[in-house]
Amino acid sequence: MAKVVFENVTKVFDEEIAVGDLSFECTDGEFFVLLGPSGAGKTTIMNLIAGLENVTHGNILIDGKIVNDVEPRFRDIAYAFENYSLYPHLNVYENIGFPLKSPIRKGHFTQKQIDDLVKNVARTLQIDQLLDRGITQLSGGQRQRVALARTLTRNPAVYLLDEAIAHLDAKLRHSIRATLKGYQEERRVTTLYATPDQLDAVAMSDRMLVIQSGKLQQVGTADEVYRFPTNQFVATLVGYPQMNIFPARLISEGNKMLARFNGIDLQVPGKIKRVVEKKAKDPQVRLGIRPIDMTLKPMNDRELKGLSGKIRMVEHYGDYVVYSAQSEGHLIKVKMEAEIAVNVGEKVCLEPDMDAVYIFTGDGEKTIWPVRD
Amino acid sequence: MAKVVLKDLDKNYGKVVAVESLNLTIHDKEFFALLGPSGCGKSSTLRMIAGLEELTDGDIFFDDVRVTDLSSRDRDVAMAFENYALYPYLSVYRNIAFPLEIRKVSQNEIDRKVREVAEFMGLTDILNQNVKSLSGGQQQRTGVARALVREPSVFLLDEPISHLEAELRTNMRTELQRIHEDIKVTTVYVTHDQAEAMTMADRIGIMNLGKLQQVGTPREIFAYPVNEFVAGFVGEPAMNFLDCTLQTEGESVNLTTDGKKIGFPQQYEETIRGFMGRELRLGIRPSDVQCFAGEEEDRLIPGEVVFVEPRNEKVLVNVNIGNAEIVALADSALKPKARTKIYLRLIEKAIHLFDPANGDNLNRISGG
Repeated sequence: MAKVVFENVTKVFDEEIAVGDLSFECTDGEFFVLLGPSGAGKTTIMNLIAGLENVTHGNILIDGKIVNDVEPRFRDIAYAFENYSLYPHLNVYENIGFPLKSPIRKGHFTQKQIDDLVKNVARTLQIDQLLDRGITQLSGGQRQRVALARTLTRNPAVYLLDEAIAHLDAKLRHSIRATLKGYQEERRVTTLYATPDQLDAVAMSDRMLVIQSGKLQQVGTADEVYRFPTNQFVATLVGYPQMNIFPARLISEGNKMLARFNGIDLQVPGKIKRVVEKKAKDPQVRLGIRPIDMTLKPMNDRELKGLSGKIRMVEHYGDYVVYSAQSEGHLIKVKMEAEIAVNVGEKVCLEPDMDAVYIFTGDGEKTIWPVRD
Repeated sequence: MAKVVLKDLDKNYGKVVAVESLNLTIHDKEFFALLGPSGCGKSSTLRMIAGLEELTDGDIFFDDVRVTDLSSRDRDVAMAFENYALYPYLSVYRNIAFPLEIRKVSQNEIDRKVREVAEFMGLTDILNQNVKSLSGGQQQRTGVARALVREPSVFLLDEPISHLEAELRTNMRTELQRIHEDIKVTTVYVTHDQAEAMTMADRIGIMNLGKLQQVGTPREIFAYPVNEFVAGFVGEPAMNFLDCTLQTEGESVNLTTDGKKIGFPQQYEETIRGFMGRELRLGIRPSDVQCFAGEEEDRLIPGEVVFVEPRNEKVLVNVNIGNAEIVALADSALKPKARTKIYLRLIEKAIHLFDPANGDNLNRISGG
């Protein structure tokens, strides 16, 4: 049980800032996800908590104590590395049980307890049929689960899981997500989980921290981050397919506000207009529309109200269809629950639902709308 | 440009049967995905088309020409592998030029072709860089460029993007589709990822245990799976399965599970008659299971929420109904909580029924 706190932590590698002035608090028992693209600094944060790297500036606190100078083995952390780091000369069973037999835990567990722990967690992660196998006989996804199992047999103050299910196929990932979340909820061990996959973050996190180029972008629940992203980066990272972004110019016409994009005027609804008038300093903005908030119609269906485009791609996901349409220089994605009769190459009409619009500053750095009440 | 025909293909490795009596026609200019779990025989099939693997039995035709006994280099195929097999210490240029050099194409011709394909693949600016210094996506594009430069009549891709990270994978998916759209060469794409097959392919062939299970467009396979394997393999989150019984109650006929009434799927009216009183396997997709907080009418299945997995605007609800666990895809506005009661309705017209004896969809014939 432990709270993990970063106070203005900076980590510099060869003059390159991997993590810059980062502050956050992961509460006791929380499932806290670090979400960001590769190179964002997620693994560095994990290594700093584990003590495998030292901070350049700032403090890291575990359970209220500054641990900057505490050696890794005294930090009571179980770490699942992205690259597994398994022992190739040991079989699956021996790998999973290895940390429990470590000299610093000598006498903590009986043989029977170790056996129970190993078999239990192996069953949970659906690798109990592989216990006698050698590591080299396993697929990437199986190895990854062995590494995860080895971590989960322990009951430390903090779990660090670095892309712990990235190499599993989609189906298994879904079932292991549920398993992992359930396991963590039961034991309430503070967990930091790093991933580039927003679905992992949305599915499992109590809260997530979104990071890019070593800089914190937002901390919040999945719902907060999805509904109230702090900037364009967060908005396009969370949600699938990615939010569409258009540069637009805000224009006042009588008591209406219009957003002009590619020569098309889209009316900004009244409640949004009132906020935007106060907050937007520059009329040059970016509009964000999620693919589920756009409708697509054949061109001849009705007169053009939105944008026009030409279908580039139709992707069937079974439950829904994603259309990609080229509109001037933009590839616009539209997610429809029911298929409509259009073919690649056909001209279509794209109607955004302006009540669901997001508005960012012209550089995408700040969200102007929506704001929390 | 070529049509690829596989006729009664068999492949054994010793006593292990990798591919069994495979018959398949891949149309000219088609983007065809061979989909299946690992070990299903899809890669062996691809390697036989490439000429990298000998057939145990059967024949392969390209445009009605028998190529079974032709060596790989005489088949006019190009293959891009998952692990790219690039030369790490050579430049992008040299890597792309390589297949032309070994074919003794003139230097001028090589230069023209390499630059053309590099332009097309967005590699012009990095032609002189060593492959080793490239990002995963750039390496992937170099691998594809090297395959394309030969202008093959059949393009073979073996899990070319499965190990890239999610965002890059999505981009590469789009890119491969664009390439196919532009050059229109017959493409066979092997993958274990149903989402890749569904979103990219004109048609999909699904394999399991060395046997071809079904061939169809993504929509056909999703809507009319021929058996329980296909139904469970395609679609994410996966289809739910439960045991049920067909019972009469006075005038009405109903499916029941564990004593609870489910309803009657009209689309099975013709085929279901012979199964009265018998056990059946019922399949239903999570998006076709509706969740309700309160009980109503008699066709609602009561259950308890086990686990909730948020997915942005939707949420996946795992519900324990006593004899099975059912996953429902609900609107996130429903906000279901773990360990609370919930009531489910299975949308009747979306129900699939399978014969428990062999897994066949009871509507197999009408479903195509």
